[in-house]
Amino acid sequence: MLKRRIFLKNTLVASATGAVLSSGLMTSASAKEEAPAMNPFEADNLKDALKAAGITDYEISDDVVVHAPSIAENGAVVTIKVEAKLDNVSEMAVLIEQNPTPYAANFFIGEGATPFVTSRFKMGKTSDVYGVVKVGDKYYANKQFVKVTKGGCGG
Amino acid sequence: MAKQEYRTRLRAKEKDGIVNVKALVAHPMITGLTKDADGKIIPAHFINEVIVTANDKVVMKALWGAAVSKDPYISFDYAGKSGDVVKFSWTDNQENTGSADITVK
Repeated sequence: MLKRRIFLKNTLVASATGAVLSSGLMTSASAKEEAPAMNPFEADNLKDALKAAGITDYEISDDVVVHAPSIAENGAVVTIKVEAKLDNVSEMAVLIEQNPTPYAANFFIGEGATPFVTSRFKMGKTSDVYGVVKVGDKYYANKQFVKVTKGGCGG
Repeated sequence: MAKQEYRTRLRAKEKDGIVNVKALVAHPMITGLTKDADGKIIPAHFINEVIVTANDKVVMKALWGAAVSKDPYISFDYAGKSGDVVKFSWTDNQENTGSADITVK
Protein backbone atom coordinates (compact mmCIF):
# COMPACT_ATOMS: atom_id res chain seq x y z
CA MET A 1 0.00 0.00 0.00
CA LEU A 2 1.93 2.93 -1.32
CA LYS A 3 -0.49 5.49 0.04
CA ARG A 4 0.09 4.28 3.52
CA ARG A 5 3.83 4.41 3.13
CA ILE A 6 3.72 8.01 2.03
CA PHE A 7 1.59 8.87 4.96
CA LEU A 8 4.05 7.20 7.27
CA LYS A 9 6.73 9.43 5.90
CA ASN A 10 4.52 12.45 6.45
CA THR A 11 3.83 11.49 10.00
CA LEU A 12 7.53 11.59 10.72
CA VAL A 13 7.81 15.24 9.95
CA ALA A 14 4.30 16.22 10.97
CA SER A 15 4.64 17.35 14.56
CA ALA A 16 5.68 16.26 18.00
CA THR A 17 2.58 14.12 18.36
CA GLY A 18 3.10 12.87 14.83
CA ALA A 19 6.58 11.74 15.78
CA VAL A 20 5.24 9.82 18.73
CA LEU A 21 2.58 8.20 16.61
CA SER A 22 4.93 7.27 13.83
CA SER A 23 7.35 5.56 16.18
CA GLY A 24 4.49 3.25 16.99
CA LEU A 25 3.53 2.93 13.36
CA MET A 26 7.03 2.22 12.11
CA THR A 27 7.29 -0.92 14.20
CA SER A 28 3.98 -2.18 12.86
CA ALA A 29 4.72 -1.14 9.30
CA SER A 30 5.46 -4.73 8.30
CA ALA A 31 2.10 -5.87 9.62
CA LYS A 32 0.26 -3.95 6.97
CA GLU A 33 -3.28 -3.77 8.21
CA GLU A 34 -2.53 -2.90 11.81
CA ALA A 35 -2.46 0.66 12.94
CA PRO A 36 -3.25 0.92 16.62
CA ALA A 37 -2.35 4.55 17.20
CA MET A 38 -3.60 6.36 14.17
CA ASN A 39 -2.97 9.75 12.77
CA PRO A 40 -6.45 11.12 11.92
CA PHE A 41 -5.11 12.43 8.62
CA GLU A 42 -4.26 8.88 7.69
CA ALA A 43 -7.61 7.28 8.45
CA ASP A 44 -9.43 6.17 5.32
CA ASN A 45 -12.99 6.34 6.59
CA LEU A 46 -15.02 8.78 8.61
CA LYS A 47 -15.46 6.57 11.66
CA ASP A 48 -11.76 5.86 12.05
CA ALA A 49 -10.87 9.47 11.39
CA LEU A 50 -13.17 10.67 14.15
CA LYS A 51 -11.85 8.02 16.48
CA ALA A 52 -8.23 8.87 15.73
CA ALA A 53 -8.97 12.51 16.36
CA GLY A 54 -10.37 11.61 19.77
CA ILE A 55 -13.93 12.45 18.80
CA THR A 56 -15.84 9.58 20.32
CA ASP A 57 -19.17 11.27 20.74
CA TYR A 58 -20.68 14.33 19.18
CA GLU A 59 -23.99 16.06 19.10
CA ILE A 60 -25.57 17.36 15.93
CA SER A 61 -26.20 21.00 16.60
CA ASP A 62 -27.64 23.88 14.63
CA ASP A 63 -25.15 26.14 16.37
CA VAL A 64 -22.52 24.76 14.05
CA VAL A 65 -22.94 25.97 10.51
CA VAL A 66 -21.11 24.51 7.56
CA HIS A 67 -21.28 26.84 4.60
CA ALA A 68 -20.48 25.03 1.40
CA PRO A 69 -21.91 25.14 -2.10
CA SER A 70 -24.63 22.54 -2.63
CA ILE A 71 -23.18 21.92 -6.07
CA ALA A 72 -19.44 22.23 -6.59
CA GLU A 73 -18.52 22.41 -10.23
CA ASN A 74 -14.89 21.79 -9.54
CA GLY A 75 -14.03 19.35 -6.79
CA ALA A 76 -10.42 20.54 -6.72
CA VAL A 77 -11.41 23.82 -5.14
CA VAL A 78 -14.41 23.83 -2.82
CA THR A 79 -14.70 26.75 -0.45
CA ILE A 80 -15.92 25.59 2.92
CA LYS A 81 -16.71 27.86 5.81
CA VAL A 82 -17.32 26.58 9.30
CA GLU A 83 -18.93 28.81 11.84
CA ALA A 84 -19.95 28.11 15.42
CA LYS A 85 -22.44 30.15 17.38
CA LEU A 86 -20.98 28.87 20.62
CA ASP A 87 -18.63 30.25 23.24
CA ASN A 88 -15.22 28.90 24.19
CA VAL A 89 -14.61 26.99 21.01
CA SER A 90 -11.12 25.52 21.07
CA GLU A 91 -10.98 23.43 17.92
CA MET A 92 -12.77 23.15 14.61
CA ALA A 93 -12.27 20.20 12.32
CA VAL A 94 -13.39 19.71 8.75
CA LEU A 95 -14.10 16.21 7.51
CA ILE A 96 -15.12 15.20 4.02
CA GLU A 97 -16.75 11.81 4.25
CA GLN A 98 -16.09 10.42 0.79
CA ASN A 99 -12.49 11.59 0.43
CA PRO A 100 -9.72 8.96 0.49
CA THR A 101 -8.74 10.45 3.84
CA PRO A 102 -11.80 12.22 5.28
CA TYR A 103 -9.98 14.22 7.94
CA ALA A 104 -9.17 17.39 6.02
CA ALA A 105 -8.11 19.98 8.50
CA ASN A 106 -8.16 20.96 12.12
CA PHE A 107 -8.13 24.55 13.27
CA PHE A 108 -7.14 25.47 16.79
CA ILE A 109 -8.91 28.64 17.75
CA GLY A 110 -6.58 30.86 19.75
CA GLU A 111 -7.43 33.41 22.36
CA GLY A 112 -9.53 36.23 20.99
CA ALA A 113 -10.29 34.49 17.74
CA THR A 114 -13.87 34.04 16.71
CA PRO A 115 -15.05 30.53 15.84
CA PHE A 116 -15.21 31.09 12.14
CA VAL A 117 -12.88 29.86 9.48
CA THR A 118 -12.92 29.70 5.72
CA SER A 119 -10.66 27.55 3.62
CA ARG A 120 -10.64 25.68 0.36
CA PHE A 121 -10.61 21.92 0.06
CA LYS A 122 -10.37 19.19 -2.52
CA MET A 123 -13.28 16.82 -2.82
CA GLY A 124 -12.88 13.57 -4.70
CA LYS A 125 -16.62 13.14 -5.20
CA THR A 126 -20.04 14.06 -3.94
CA SER A 127 -20.03 13.86 -0.19
CA ASP A 128 -21.25 15.14 3.11
CA VAL A 129 -18.95 17.71 4.65
CA TYR A 130 -18.78 17.68 8.44
CA GLY A 131 -17.77 20.51 10.67
CA VAL A 132 -16.90 19.33 14.15
CA VAL A 133 -16.43 21.90 16.86
CA LYS A 134 -14.88 21.31 20.25
CA VAL A 135 -16.20 23.20 23.26
CA GLY A 136 -14.59 22.14 26.52
CA ASP A 137 -14.74 18.35 26.44
CA LYS A 138 -17.74 18.16 24.17
CA TYR A 139 -18.04 18.03 20.43
CA TYR A 140 -20.76 19.55 18.33
CA ALA A 141 -21.13 18.85 14.67
CA ASN A 142 -23.14 19.60 11.63
CA LYS A 143 -22.96 18.63 8.02
CA GLN A 144 -23.68 19.90 4.57
CA PHE A 145 -24.18 17.85 1.46
CA VAL A 146 -22.02 18.89 -1.46
CA LYS A 147 -22.56 17.50 -4.93
CA VAL A 148 -19.39 17.46 -6.98
CA THR A 149 -19.89 17.45 -10.70
CA LYS A 150 -16.21 17.26 -11.57
CA GLY A 151 -13.71 15.29 -9.49
CA GLY A 152 -10.85 16.73 -7.51
CA CYS A 153 -8.42 14.04 -8.56
CA GLY A 154 -7.85 14.69 -12.21
CA GLY A 155 -11.50 14.06 -13.16
CA MET B 1 14.17 19.09 -4.95
CA ALA B 2 15.70 22.49 -5.10
CA LYS B 3 14.42 25.11 -2.78
CA GLN B 4 11.37 26.70 -4.27
CA GLU B 5 9.76 30.01 -3.67
CA TYR B 6 6.22 29.88 -2.38
CA ARG B 7 4.56 33.19 -2.49
CA THR B 8 2.69 33.90 0.69
CA ARG B 9 0.17 36.69 0.66
CA LEU B 10 -1.46 38.08 3.73
CA ARG B 11 -4.09 40.66 4.42
CA ALA B 12 -5.58 41.88 7.68
CA LYS B 13 -8.26 44.45 8.11
CA GLU B 14 -9.95 45.76 11.22
CA LYS B 15 -13.63 46.64 11.46
CA ASP B 16 -15.54 47.26 14.70
CA GLY B 17 -12.91 45.59 16.86
CA ILE B 18 -12.76 42.47 14.72
CA VAL B 19 -9.76 41.81 12.54
CA ASN B 20 -10.28 39.69 9.48
CA VAL B 21 -7.17 37.86 8.35
CA LYS B 22 -6.89 36.43 4.87
CA ALA B 23 -3.92 34.44 3.67
CA LEU B 24 -3.04 32.74 0.44
CA VAL B 25 0.00 30.57 -0.27
CA ALA B 26 1.08 29.54 -3.74
CA HIS B 27 1.70 25.88 -3.01
CA PRO B 28 1.02 22.77 -5.12
CA MET B 29 -0.55 20.74 -2.25
CA ILE B 30 0.07 17.34 -3.85
CA THR B 31 -1.93 14.60 -2.16
CA GLY B 32 0.38 11.69 -2.89
CA LEU B 33 -2.46 9.84 -4.60
CA THR B 34 -1.96 11.14 -8.12
CA LYS B 35 0.31 9.61 -10.73
CA ASP B 36 2.52 11.19 -13.34
CA ALA B 37 2.59 10.33 -17.06
CA ASP B 38 4.77 7.26 -16.40
CA GLY B 39 2.33 5.93 -13.83
CA LYS B 40 4.62 6.71 -10.93
CA ILE B 41 3.06 8.17 -7.85
CA ILE B 42 3.86 11.81 -7.34
CA PRO B 43 5.08 12.11 -3.75
CA ALA B 44 2.85 13.99 -1.36
CA HIS B 45 3.78 17.57 -0.83
CA PHE B 46 1.44 19.70 1.19
CA ILE B 47 1.36 22.23 3.98
CA ASN B 48 0.56 20.50 7.22
CA GLU B 49 0.90 23.23 9.77
CA VAL B 50 -0.11 26.85 9.81
CA ILE B 51 0.36 29.24 12.70
CA VAL B 52 -0.97 32.76 12.83
CA THR B 53 0.03 35.09 15.62
CA ALA B 54 -1.15 38.58 16.47
CA ASN B 55 1.32 40.58 18.56
CA ASP B 56 3.17 37.28 19.22
CA LYS B 57 0.04 35.60 20.61
CA VAL B 58 -1.23 32.58 18.71
CA VAL B 59 -4.70 33.30 17.38
CA MET B 60 -4.96 30.41 14.98
CA LYS B 61 -3.14 27.17 14.50
CA ALA B 62 -4.23 24.82 11.78
CA LEU B 63 -3.28 21.27 10.96
CA TRP B 64 -3.97 20.46 7.37
CA GLY B 65 -4.17 17.24 5.45
CA ALA B 66 -3.70 16.68 1.77
CA ALA B 67 -7.36 17.47 1.18
CA VAL B 68 -6.74 21.18 1.38
CA SER B 69 -6.83 22.51 -2.14
CA LYS B 70 -3.96 23.79 -4.24
CA ASP B 71 -2.86 27.34 -3.43
CA PRO B 72 -4.49 27.15 -0.03
CA TYR B 73 -6.52 30.00 1.31
CA ILE B 74 -7.60 30.68 4.84
CA SER B 75 -9.72 33.40 6.31
CA PHE B 76 -10.74 33.94 9.91
CA ASP B 77 -11.55 36.66 12.43
CA TYR B 78 -10.13 37.59 15.78
CA ALA B 79 -10.80 40.36 18.24
CA GLY B 80 -8.05 42.86 17.66
CA LYS B 81 -7.26 46.39 16.73
CA SER B 82 -5.64 48.42 14.05
CA GLY B 83 -1.87 48.37 14.45
CA ASP B 84 -1.61 44.74 15.54
CA VAL B 85 1.23 42.85 13.91
CA VAL B 86 -0.10 39.67 12.35
CA LYS B 87 2.38 36.99 11.40
CA PHE B 88 1.45 33.99 9.31
CA SER B 89 3.80 31.05 8.97
CA TRP B 90 3.50 27.59 7.49
CA THR B 91 5.46 24.37 7.24
CA ASP B 92 4.96 21.62 4.69
CA ASN B 93 5.72 17.93 4.85
CA GLN B 94 9.00 18.42 2.99
CA GLU B 95 10.09 20.89 5.62
CA ASN B 96 9.76 23.95 3.47
CA THR B 97 8.56 26.94 5.36
CA GLY B 98 7.18 30.32 4.53
CA SER B 99 5.87 33.31 6.33
CA ALA B 100 4.48 36.76 5.92
CA ASP B 101 3.69 39.52 8.34
CA ILE B 102 1.56 42.58 8.15
CA THR B 103 0.36 45.43 10.30
CA VAL B 104 -3.41 45.54 10.63
CA LYS B 105 -4.97 48.47 8.86
